[in-house]
Amino acid sequence: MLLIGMAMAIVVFMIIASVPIIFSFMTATLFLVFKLNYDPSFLMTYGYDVTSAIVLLCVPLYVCVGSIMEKSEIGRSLIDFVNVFVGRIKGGLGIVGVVSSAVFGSISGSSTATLTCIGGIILPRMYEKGYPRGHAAALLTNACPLGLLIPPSSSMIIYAWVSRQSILACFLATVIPGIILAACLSISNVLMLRGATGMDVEDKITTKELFHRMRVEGVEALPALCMPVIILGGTYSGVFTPTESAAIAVLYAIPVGFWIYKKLTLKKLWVTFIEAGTTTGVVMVMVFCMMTLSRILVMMNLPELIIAFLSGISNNPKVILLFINIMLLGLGMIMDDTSAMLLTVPILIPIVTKFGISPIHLAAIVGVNLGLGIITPPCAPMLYLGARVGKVPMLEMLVPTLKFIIFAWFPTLIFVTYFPELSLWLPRMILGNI
Amino acid sequence: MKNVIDKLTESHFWNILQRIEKFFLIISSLTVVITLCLVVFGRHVLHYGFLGYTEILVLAAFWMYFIGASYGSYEESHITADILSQFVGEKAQLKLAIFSKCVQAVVGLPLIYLSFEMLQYDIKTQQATVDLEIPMLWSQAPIFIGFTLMTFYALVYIVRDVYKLKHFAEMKEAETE
Amino acid sequence: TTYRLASHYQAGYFVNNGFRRMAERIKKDTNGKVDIQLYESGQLGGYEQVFQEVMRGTIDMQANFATSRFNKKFEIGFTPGLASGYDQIEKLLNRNSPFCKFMESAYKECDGVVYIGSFLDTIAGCSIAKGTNIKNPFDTSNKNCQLRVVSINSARKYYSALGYQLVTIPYAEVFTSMQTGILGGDSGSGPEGVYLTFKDVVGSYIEYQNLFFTLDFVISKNVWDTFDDKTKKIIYNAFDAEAINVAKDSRTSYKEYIDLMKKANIKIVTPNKEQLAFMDGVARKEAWPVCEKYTGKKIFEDISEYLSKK
Ligand code: NA
Ligand code: NA
Repeated sequence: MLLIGMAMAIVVFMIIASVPIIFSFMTATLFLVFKLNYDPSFLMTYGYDVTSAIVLLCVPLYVCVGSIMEKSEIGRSLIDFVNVFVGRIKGGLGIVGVVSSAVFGSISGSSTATLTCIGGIILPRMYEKGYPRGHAAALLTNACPLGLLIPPSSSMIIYAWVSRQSILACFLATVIPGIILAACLSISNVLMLRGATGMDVEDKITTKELFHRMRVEGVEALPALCMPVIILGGTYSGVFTPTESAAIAVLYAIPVGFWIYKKLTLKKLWVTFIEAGTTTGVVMVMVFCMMTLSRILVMMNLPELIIAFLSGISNNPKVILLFINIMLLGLGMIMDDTSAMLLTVPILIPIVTKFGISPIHLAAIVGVNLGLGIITPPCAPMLYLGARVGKVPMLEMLVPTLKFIIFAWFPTLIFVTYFPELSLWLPRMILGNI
Repeated sequence: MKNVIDKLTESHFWNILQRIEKFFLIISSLTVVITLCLVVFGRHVLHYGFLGYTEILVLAAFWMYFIGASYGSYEESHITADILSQFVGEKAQLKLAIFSKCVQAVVGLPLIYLSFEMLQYDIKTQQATVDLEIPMLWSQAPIFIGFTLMTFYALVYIVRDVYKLKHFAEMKEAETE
Repeated sequence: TTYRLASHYQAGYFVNNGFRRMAERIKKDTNGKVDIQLYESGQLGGYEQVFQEVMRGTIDMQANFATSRFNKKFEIGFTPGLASGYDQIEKLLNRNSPFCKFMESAYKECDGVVYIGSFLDTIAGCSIAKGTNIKNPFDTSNKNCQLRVVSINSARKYYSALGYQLVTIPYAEVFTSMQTGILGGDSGSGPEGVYLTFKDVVGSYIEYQNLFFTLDFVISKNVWDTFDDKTKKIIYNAFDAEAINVAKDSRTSYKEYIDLMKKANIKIVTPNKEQLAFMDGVARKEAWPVCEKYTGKKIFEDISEYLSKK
């Protein structure tokens, strides 16, 4: 136990000192191997063994899709389409931002791509309409993790892989939480803007005009809107497996980018592959290293120690879930989403099973927590990115971000944690018994 | 001192290395996409199941993962929490960067050794995949290459940053001018 | 001393219970000197990884499939038609049978491991997805069914001779693939495995009865060499005693889960004597030559002779 504590202290120290996450964890791994006098020859082969899972190839493929979408400016057509519906409410453009982030994030699954692409297009428009800058940038920042919850999502694929659950079930588990979060964000956006002055609202239009605009913008957005339909439809109806669907999505995005939106070039495509390969490499080598650490923690019987500790406190699943949430929230503050998941899920699975909590329910809890993790300071990559994309000082974003966390994220988290049906209903309905 | 680093980063070796990395990233991505699409095509159009295609995927995947991570080291784009550097000055940031690279280099050395030892074991035991009989060596070699490149880049950047730190005042002046 | 025993099967599976009882027996008989801790559910890695680690000594013991990544001769254990029905298989797994002797020598060829014996896991059949219908399961006609077969060449040859289309699907995607209809069936589990994992997506279960799985108990040579003769004997005895219990449990589990499948409206398709004989013939003609490439003909003859003796 002391050793584990020391190893974790090393990790936290390294992370705070800006050492890349992977090397922080690798230091801890090597420290433990050395201290416990293990023969280290298994580290490499074990890492190889676990990362050679085929489903993990979804990660590079979805990163590719996101990157192609970003480069071909598919986002613009999505925004125009959503704007037709809610553009005339005070704060409507904010809702457009949230919904567009959800749709764009659905396919790309990348919060970074969502924030850069959707934020980059919609924030200037919001400023033009008189939105307070801090509020606008904070809203988009809070909305960008939606793609993590709305399927397909490479984070959920990694969760399914670590926890050995069905990918499709994990995808479905986070859909309703994602919708709740989007709704909470939209509502708090409107409420927070009630007192704001100097904001333009679009003029009322006739029904005929509305239908006309719906048709024009709809046609423009159709190829982009088709993407999730093809991926999810194809997967749930049995045309291809989740892994294959990711490759099909790349195959689909290429001609759409080249010939329909006409922003993609061959050179950009190669750059996309290089960027996707790099992003994936960075993530997957991290997976490789994190899994060796979790193997050592298993050999040290950490899961059993934690179960014993938690059982000593309470046998009530609700209390256990509270502890899990607090732990995830804390980890989310100092770690990025993928590392926090890789570190905790292998340990949490035996624990939740012991206390009668469904791993699919946990998928939703972990999903919401990790989404929140990327915007909670101090380690808040999306908050910093949001400030950069929106060209706002970060301090101006802090208060609105905090409000969104309290009025949108926390309610979502509480709902998801204490109403398991929200995450289990959809998988049960579509996949039967889980 | 500066000359060494500049010479290196402007050398053919440096450029070619980077190009090879890019080449591998493109080829491995394409292999994954094409293989998976062919599998779907084979199943629905030709009613044919390709046996052992997963072994090709694993091979391509490991080259992508580890060359990608090396390229990430080249770009210095590994995931960091960046907590402290938000609050300290430029000079302290540079010091943190040097510390971080030193950790990377120190951790890198045992990793290089271990991955090399794994390759030796592969050769000794002649392991191969079951269907296509692809030697394990082919898909495990990128692990060794990747860790070596990552450590190499960390070492190069340590030298660069130490130089920057030494000449911090001069460079600041040059910037303001 | 505490030793690590790795199994890829989940906790509660009867073979793992057998391993756990064996560990208790060994601990008791050695007065606590040999304390074996079971790591289940593949916590320490996949079976190929674990085998390599046992070879190198970073994991002490393994309760797993023999992986042909290290020696193609291991394929003999998964070759169809070697023995059919529980009585024959149990006889085959006796410590003194040519099969076990062969496995022992094959394991010797992999540096660093010592083979103790094989627990009978199950007789595997084919679970067929709900939407798929196999009209004549026991002949060689085209089944129009995409079947996932473990990557053992002889088993693949056998199922393709029976008229299945073979496909590779990662195990993690088998459930959803059967559910969505991409996959027509899977040949990698016995009744308990099918019921516990695939119950909701399986429409029928075909008992082929002539392909069985074993879990081999293998100890790292480094560890084995530290044991004195008395300890070694205790381990052999504990294994043999539990092998009988596990075989019994395997029979019970087989019956129990076939009944549960029937209750869950899964159609059970059972061959009659002629059909069984016909399929054994297919296995001999098609599958055995594939394995003989690695093992030679003689071992197959020896096994046939051994099994035909009363
Ligand atoms: Na998504
Ligand atoms: Na955070």
